[in-house]
Amino acid sequence: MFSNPVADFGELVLLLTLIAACYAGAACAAGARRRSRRLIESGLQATYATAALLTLASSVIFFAIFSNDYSIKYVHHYSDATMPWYYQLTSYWGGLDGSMMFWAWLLALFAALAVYVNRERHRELIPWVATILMGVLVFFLLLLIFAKRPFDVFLTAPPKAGKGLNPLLQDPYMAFHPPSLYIGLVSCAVPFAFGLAALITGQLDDSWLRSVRRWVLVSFFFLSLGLVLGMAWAYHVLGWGGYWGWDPVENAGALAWFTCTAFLHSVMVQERRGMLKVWNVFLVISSFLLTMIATFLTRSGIVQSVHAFGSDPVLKMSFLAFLGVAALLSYGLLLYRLPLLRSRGQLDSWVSREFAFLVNNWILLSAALFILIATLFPTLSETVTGTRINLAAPFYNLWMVPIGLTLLFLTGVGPLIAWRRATPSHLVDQFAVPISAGFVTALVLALIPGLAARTPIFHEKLQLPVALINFSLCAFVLASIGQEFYRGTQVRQTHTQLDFFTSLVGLVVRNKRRYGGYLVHVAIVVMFIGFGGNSYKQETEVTLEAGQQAQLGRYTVRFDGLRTEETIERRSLIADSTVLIGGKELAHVTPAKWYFAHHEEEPVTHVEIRRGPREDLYLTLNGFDAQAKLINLKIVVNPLVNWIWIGFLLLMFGTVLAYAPERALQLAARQAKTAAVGSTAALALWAFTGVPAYADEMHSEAHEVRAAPRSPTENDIFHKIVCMCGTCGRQLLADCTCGTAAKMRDEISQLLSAGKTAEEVIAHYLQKYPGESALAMPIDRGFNRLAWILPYGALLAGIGLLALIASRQRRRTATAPIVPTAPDDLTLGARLDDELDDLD
Amino acid sequence: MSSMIWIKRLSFGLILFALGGAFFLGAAIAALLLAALSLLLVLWLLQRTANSILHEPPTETQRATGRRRKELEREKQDLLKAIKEIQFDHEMHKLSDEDFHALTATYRGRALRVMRQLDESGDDYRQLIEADLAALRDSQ
Repeated sequence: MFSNPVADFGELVLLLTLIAACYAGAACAAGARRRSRRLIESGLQATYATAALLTLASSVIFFAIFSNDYSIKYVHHYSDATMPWYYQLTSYWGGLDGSMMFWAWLLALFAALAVYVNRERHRELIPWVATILMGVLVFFLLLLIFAKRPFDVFLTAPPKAGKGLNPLLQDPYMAFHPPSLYIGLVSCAVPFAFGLAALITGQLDDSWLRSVRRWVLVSFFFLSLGLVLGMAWAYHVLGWGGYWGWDPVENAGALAWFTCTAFLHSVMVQERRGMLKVWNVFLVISSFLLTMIATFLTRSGIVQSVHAFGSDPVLKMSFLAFLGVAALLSYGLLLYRLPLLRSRGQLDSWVSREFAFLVNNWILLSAALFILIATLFPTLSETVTGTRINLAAPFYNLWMVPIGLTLLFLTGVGPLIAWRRATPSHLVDQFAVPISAGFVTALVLALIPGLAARTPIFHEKLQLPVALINFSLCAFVLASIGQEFYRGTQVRQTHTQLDFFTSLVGLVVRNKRRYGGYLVHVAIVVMFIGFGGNSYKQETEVTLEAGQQAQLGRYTVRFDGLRTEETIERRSLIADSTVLIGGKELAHVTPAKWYFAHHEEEPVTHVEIRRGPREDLYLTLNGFDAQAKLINLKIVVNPLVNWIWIGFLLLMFGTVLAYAPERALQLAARQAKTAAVGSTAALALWAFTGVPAYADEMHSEAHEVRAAPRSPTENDIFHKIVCMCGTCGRQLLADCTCGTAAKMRDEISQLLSAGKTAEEVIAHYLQKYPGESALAMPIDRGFNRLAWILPYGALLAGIGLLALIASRQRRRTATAPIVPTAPDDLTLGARLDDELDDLD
Repeated sequence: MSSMIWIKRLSFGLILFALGGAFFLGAAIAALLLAALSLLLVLWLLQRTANSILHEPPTETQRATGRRRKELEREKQDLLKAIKEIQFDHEMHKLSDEDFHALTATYRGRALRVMRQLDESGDDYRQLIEADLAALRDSQ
């Protein structure tokens, strides 16, 4: 039997970590109950030790990867000596076992950091925070030790070479996307632990929120970063011309983003008005549970996805049990503590910022619920009816587009309305300019031919000029935020008597949270401008011989010839082509297929993108015939797409500004001698359009020449039928690049050539595959109706719930006792005025 | 010199060594050095875990009162900021005169109450700081 001391040592460290985590949790809990400072202190030190132990375990696996120790199964499966060191590093999280270990490592590091930073500020809460975080860590450690062992070794002689990381993952974006997303997801455990600790101790005042808010901002930042990096990866690697495909794993990564965004808004209501206490605890609990659901969906095999890690019954049952216990305990505690969570304030008016935030929270949570239900619907339908009913991108877009637009609208409305109550005259004063800007934009755009393209929302039959509405709303929001900055600066100028620019800088520095939040809102608008461009997307697929050319929009693409190139890592087949505009050569481009060492059966499409602020020209080599010198080329013109990435950079800046310590900004402002986050954000991330995680199971790309759609009918069918390969996440035939999709497309072409109608072709697939599994959207009948009813039902239930909360809060207004104000002591009053002046 | 300072120096040295190792000797050596550093950290933390359970930590001098004062300070700051925000919203025409006066009066009243409470606990707090500092000096 083969033995490996490195692997043995790694396993021993994991075992020690488990013991340390159990001790830390138990000592902290016992210390908190018995008020023993010895036990608490010892437990906290053990919490730090778990972080150090998991760093040690990770270092051991790094060593095994970098020293090409293929006797460890994990290293053999995901790494190879031919890969550069940075891709070897990414193989740490490229497989299921390693990704779980990475998760546990991050959790232990966050637990140590959260405990260290808050140990004095929240002495009563901290032991419980440590206990809860160690509880979660123990779950992951048990999986690592007994189910998914990253240090498992071959019992016979080890292989001589590794299989290497999946070729799709050997990409610079993939070096950053998973860690960003993981940091975002795992950091949600800290607010959850604080929320639960506050419930356990009964210390439910606002103090824990202040610490938690910053953590949620970190989660929001990294989730946004992870999602956008995933979108960028999908765009430049997958070759289907888009950036968000509503893949179940993409969806899973976005779930917690919605609840974090909702929390960043609702926490302001609690801080300012003492309202929504229950709601805020509910949101931190739900955010954590959604991160666990995301992990569960990706790793259990419950959903079919190009990004999933494959099916694993042990993980499925373990995660289900953990989720059940965590949900029962946390929501149970919340119910138990309800009497302590009564609102201090009340809703004074329906036309107030509080109410706008309530609506915003309801929509964000509805979006998360809708995506969760839609993602699980195929599994649900399979359980109930025995056949899988797919909900592909067109179905999601019907709902998420209007949700995104509503949130965009609220992004503009929120800053304009005052807290408590807004009078009609003030509303006119605040909304006149932004609404005018929106209307003028709509009118101007309506006059430009082709800009009023109609898109279905809610139902296929209801079609509206969505892009035009989107751009008008963008103008409305930009005007509202611009007005906020302008008027705010004017107000500050009257106090400071400084020039406009200095006052503007001072305004932002003194109110960084508010104005950082506004910058995030501007970023969202910029991203929505990019999303809006999707409505004008043009695409075509052509088969070309050397010397032939194709036209799309203002571009002509000429195929010049095929050639091959070889390096140690891969063999490339390149289609040399030239892009022309108006007969003038613009660029030489090289769309290609890459065949990585050890993965020759999984060629990767190298997409050629000509980027520009107005549009991208996107070329994908879908197939080729080396003998006949034929290629099949997908040409896509993506208008405004780069504004999404620009908007994201702005979002990062706004978030950092809102997070930065006030002292740092004041210092910066002094040295220069001058002188509401989160919203809606990104719905962006999902609104019109990925979070690719990564995977060890991918569909295999076709490389034979594929037929381009010969007629609009054929193209329409390609958008209604999904690929049945089983691993691509049921992509539309129009988008999927695998061999199964290519065969299905050929079959459709033949059926249509044989005189079949579109309905007969669809009927053929309904007969060929069980139920409606081949359809992108379920037919609105029988059990399927549930897919349609659920979102409408959730929408109506949300409105009902919102009205109930608002009317209860308003009833409380009538009975709420008026707090008597103490008479102003002259000296104390003067001191108060002085301190208020110092705040300027 | 306390063990903490030695730990910091050693860690810093090892990190530099690891980076140097990664640059000159390759990623595997860097991983090995990171492992060595982590192992040292683990041993130190485990020793602290055991020590904490064996020895009673220094006495905490009425921390509850200190925290209460901190909370009052924080509440005062929040109230001051709230008053400024109300002024700001009013000046930006987002709040009617009537609401502005009513809200400001309420928040001023609360801020004055908190300031009185802080004044009343002022002397005790200074004594607490002195006591905490003395305890810290003794423990060192």
